[in-house]
Amino acid sequence: MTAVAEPTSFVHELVLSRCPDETIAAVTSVLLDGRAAGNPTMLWLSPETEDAVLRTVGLSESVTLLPSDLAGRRPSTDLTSFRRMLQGAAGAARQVRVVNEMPPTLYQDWYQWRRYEAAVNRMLADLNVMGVCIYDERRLDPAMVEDLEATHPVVGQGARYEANTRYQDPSHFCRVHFDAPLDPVEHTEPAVQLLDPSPAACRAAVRGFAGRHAGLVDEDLEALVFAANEAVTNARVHGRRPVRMRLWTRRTRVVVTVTDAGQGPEDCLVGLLPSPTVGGLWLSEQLVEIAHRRHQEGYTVRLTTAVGGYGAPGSQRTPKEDR
Amino acid sequence: VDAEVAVSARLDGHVVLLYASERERIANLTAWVGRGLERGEKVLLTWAPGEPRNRALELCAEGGLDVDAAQRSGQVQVLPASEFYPQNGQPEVVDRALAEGFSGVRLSAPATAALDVMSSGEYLALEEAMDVRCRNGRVSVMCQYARPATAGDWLRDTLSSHGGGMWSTGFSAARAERGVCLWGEVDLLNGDVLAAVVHAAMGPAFGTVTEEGGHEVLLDLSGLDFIDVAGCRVLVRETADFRRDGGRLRLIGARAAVARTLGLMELDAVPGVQVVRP
Repeated sequence: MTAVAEPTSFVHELVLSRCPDETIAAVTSVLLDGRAAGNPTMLWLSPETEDAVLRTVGLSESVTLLPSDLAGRRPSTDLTSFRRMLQGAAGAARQVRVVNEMPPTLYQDWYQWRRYEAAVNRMLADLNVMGVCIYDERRLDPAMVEDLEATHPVVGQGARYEANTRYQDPSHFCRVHFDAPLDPVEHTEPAVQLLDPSPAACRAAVRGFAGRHAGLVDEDLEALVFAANEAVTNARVHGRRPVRMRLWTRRTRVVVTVTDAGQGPEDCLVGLLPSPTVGGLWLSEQLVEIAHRRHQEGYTVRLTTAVGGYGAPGSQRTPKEDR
Repeated sequence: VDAEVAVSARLDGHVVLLYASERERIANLTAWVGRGLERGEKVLLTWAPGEPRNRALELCAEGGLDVDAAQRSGQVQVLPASEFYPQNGQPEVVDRALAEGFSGVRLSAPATAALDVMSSGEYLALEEAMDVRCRNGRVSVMCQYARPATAGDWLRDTLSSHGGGMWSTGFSAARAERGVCLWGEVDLLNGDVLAAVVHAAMGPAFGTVTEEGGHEVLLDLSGLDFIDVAGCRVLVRETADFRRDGGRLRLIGARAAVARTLGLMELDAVPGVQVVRP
């Protein structure tokens, strides 16, 4: 392992951990290194890891503990909070270190999460931040490890950098991984299908059909209404007619797809980064699960709301339930 | 916003009806004429070029209103455009009706009727004059504009010259004590109407002067069920000049779903915008 000079821009580092001890060792190493250099460090850890690390090295002024409620974390909101948190630190002369123990819920929406791991290299490019992502290797298959290596320019352990030759340009990575596989429900008859709906008709359909789902709370229903409205609006403004909206309800989730005859967004990072023009998709990402797919008939955006919120069973694909 | 205020904002004073279908026109015209009959006011109507003379009455009858009796008693009267918009100005028509002993007068016409007998510039001047007249509480005017034909600058000018309410498909607005109340849903198809409403609300006639001497306009969102991303951008864009000149926009009363959208759009962080939580 060769140590490279400490950079002043964003360093995105991957640590694959095989057991709790390795996780604790990685966190401790970054923390002590930061302490020695007088750099502030933020820790975003599971309660168990947080506990163990504090017992080992203790808390000091330069360390900030972030809420350890990892269960509620999801790709898009995660990135948003991360950006907000670091905005205050941006421009600081000293490098800010953030250690991020990835919660298992993020592994569920791998399609979107790996794209976020790529996009974050763009989003935080100008910040003097070192972000260390710790993944539990036992929960990753080889393809997931490949994705992580393609999205982290640095792999290593704690403060020791090793340039990663498998790293890919974020736009390239997101282009290659733009198309999501079909959700099993998409093979079934939808509860409702609208042709060229007005935004108002789309909202009424979502409220009417998804609203009958006993388990869906108002807040999640309105989140889906918001996202579906933006999807139909985007299709009408940027896509090509005909526009088709479909909706399926299942015990654990509600799925809406909006298909138009166009080619889909040109920018494969769309929705992953805040943008003044296509902000609707970026905001929808904060509220529901989003997947894109280009196909023979055009382009489909899929919106999924898990009944019971993110991390509930519905946000995992459950083929059995779809039969 | 209580129900009576909402009804009055929609049906009294100088209001604009933006209708996209005859069905909408029927519903609104019926409610508007019905309110006049109830309040013992004289109702004066005219027709658009190409429409049958009694079109407005037919629409009211379709809407379930008994206009025959009112027409026989003289409470409802249909005038040709030349008499509805006389050479000496509409005050003449209003004064004549009040002299007959009615408690008030209401006049409604399709905008195209006026444009048949005068230029659009003259019409806007007349609208502005009627707007002043409508503030005394005895005169109400409902101008009927077809959508989507009414758009762009014409929509802006129209809403700027109507101090009262605006009624359109799924979305309406009315002047309030310190700003404007909004009802319904804002999306792709009526974002331009919101833009025109907000643009008009930035005029000197709206809002209040704060203790610090600044100009403040309040948007009451308590009746708003939905606003999309573009709608939020409209709120920022249409108030940009006003805020740059030191004005402050206060958004009040937003309910949960709308409040969340405003939050996601970070409207609170826009200079000169204040989102007031209930």
